[in-house]
Amino acid sequence: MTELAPERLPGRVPGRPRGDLAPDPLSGRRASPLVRLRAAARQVAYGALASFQDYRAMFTLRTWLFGWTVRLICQVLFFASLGRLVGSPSAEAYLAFGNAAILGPLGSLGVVSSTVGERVSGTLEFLLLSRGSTFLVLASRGLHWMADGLLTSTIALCVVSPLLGVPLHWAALPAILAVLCLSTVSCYCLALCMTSISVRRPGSRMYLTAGTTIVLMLLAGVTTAVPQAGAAGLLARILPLTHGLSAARTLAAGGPLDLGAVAGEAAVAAGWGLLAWLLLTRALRHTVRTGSLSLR
Amino acid sequence: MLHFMRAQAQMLMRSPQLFATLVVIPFYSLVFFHFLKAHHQGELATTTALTAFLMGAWSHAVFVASQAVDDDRAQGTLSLSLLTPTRYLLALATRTLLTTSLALPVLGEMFLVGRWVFGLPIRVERPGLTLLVAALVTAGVAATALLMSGLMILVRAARSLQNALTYPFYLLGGLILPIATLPEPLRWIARGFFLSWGAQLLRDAAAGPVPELGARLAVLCALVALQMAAGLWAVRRVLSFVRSGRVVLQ
Repeated sequence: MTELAPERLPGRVPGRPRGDLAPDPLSGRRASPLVRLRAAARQVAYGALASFQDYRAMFTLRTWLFGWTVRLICQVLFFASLGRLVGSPSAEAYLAFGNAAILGPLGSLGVVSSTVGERVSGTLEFLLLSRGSTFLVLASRGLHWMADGLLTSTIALCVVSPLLGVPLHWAALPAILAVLCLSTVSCYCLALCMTSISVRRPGSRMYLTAGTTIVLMLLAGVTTAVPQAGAAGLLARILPLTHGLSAARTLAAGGPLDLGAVAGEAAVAAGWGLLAWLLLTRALRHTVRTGSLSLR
Repeated sequence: MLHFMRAQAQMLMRSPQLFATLVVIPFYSLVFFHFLKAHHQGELATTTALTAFLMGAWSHAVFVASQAVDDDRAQGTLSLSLLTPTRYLLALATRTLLTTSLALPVLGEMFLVGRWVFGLPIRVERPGLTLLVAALVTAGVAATALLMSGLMILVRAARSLQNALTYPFYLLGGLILPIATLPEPLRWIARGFFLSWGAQLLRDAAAGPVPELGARLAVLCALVALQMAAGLWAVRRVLSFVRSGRVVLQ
């Protein structure tokens, strides 16, 4: 039997509304770039809306504030206390800033598990019925993880900094948050790459997120300085957060915006984003072709 | 009781993903050891190895052991178990204790990682006492899992609360720094928390002679017993709610 790509499956009838992202199956014509861009934006907006509905179902304001946010602040304080254990206030401040900043990137890793959740609950099949890009559908369905990560990271930074005496130039806070936003996007792209594995092997999700957490904590300059030499140094340079956190630390210390580091983070984000598009699209096609989409 | 343990062991063997927490949490020891090595503070490696063990035991209880009752509910076996003459509470407590006790080998795992991977000087002066305290703490942690089990039946949002029940308790239990560093009101709460007594006793047992050992062991035993009584009482009460129809299972 001939394998069919999802967008070429029979049953896709003509008379498609304007703005479809895939080419028309009969004429093979594509819509103009502007129309396609508008359609993609609409698709992402609907995906984001749906993801925030999921998020609202997960927490109430009380459980989010007194459960989730308090937990994350405690997480920052816990790792910062390692600095006090070794009797170094500067190490404590370094750890506190790094662990508050990493909350955004770590939050974005939630998409690795939530996509598996879509497969378990049987909603992934419906998402893939979208006539547009399957990658955009899935990528937009996890946007709430990024938003949550950024928000909690900001709160943790604002609460923990005065509490532990972390040097932070408050005037630079908007720029710091912008850089951390870029790092979170960058890590979200890495998370989407890992989603291509977890969506095929659901049991791997916990190992993937935990492994990434540890690697980021070890190499991205969260716990100790970024390694410069060897394989660890090379890996650190292509990891999300490394460049962004370095720029954020410079800003927090009252320094200028390190455009080189920001460009580095943007390049890392673009690289992981491209890889995520390739891997995730391929993984989804594989699950469709092998008929292994539903886990119910 | 033996058949409860055998049944739970079979279930665990068939679901290796239940061991994931035990594999994953000790990875945090890599962060601890790496940090100590970077700051040339290898002599603190034993303290952080014990921290990683306690984190592993606690999160294994909160995320895995407390899940048994929810799994029973999801599979529809909970309502059937409540109809049998055998006491479900005893079965659940035995299963929870067995699952939580799987965290004990993490202690050895942490020592090996610190010594062999990082070459740090990890020493345990009183291994027998360290093992005894670790076992007591594991029992206390199993009791916490029982409390969580009651919550899992009672509150549907309990799963989202699981995540919130980790780091605040690590701070309250003084897993890295002694509870004397906590602010005054929290210090008072921590004094009644078995984990803080267990963590401090573990650190002292690893370091050498323990001052006031008898009294401190007695306090730890009493707090663990209290925690166990609270866990059993909570599950019993929730199950009576289920039997009387005040809590709907499905």
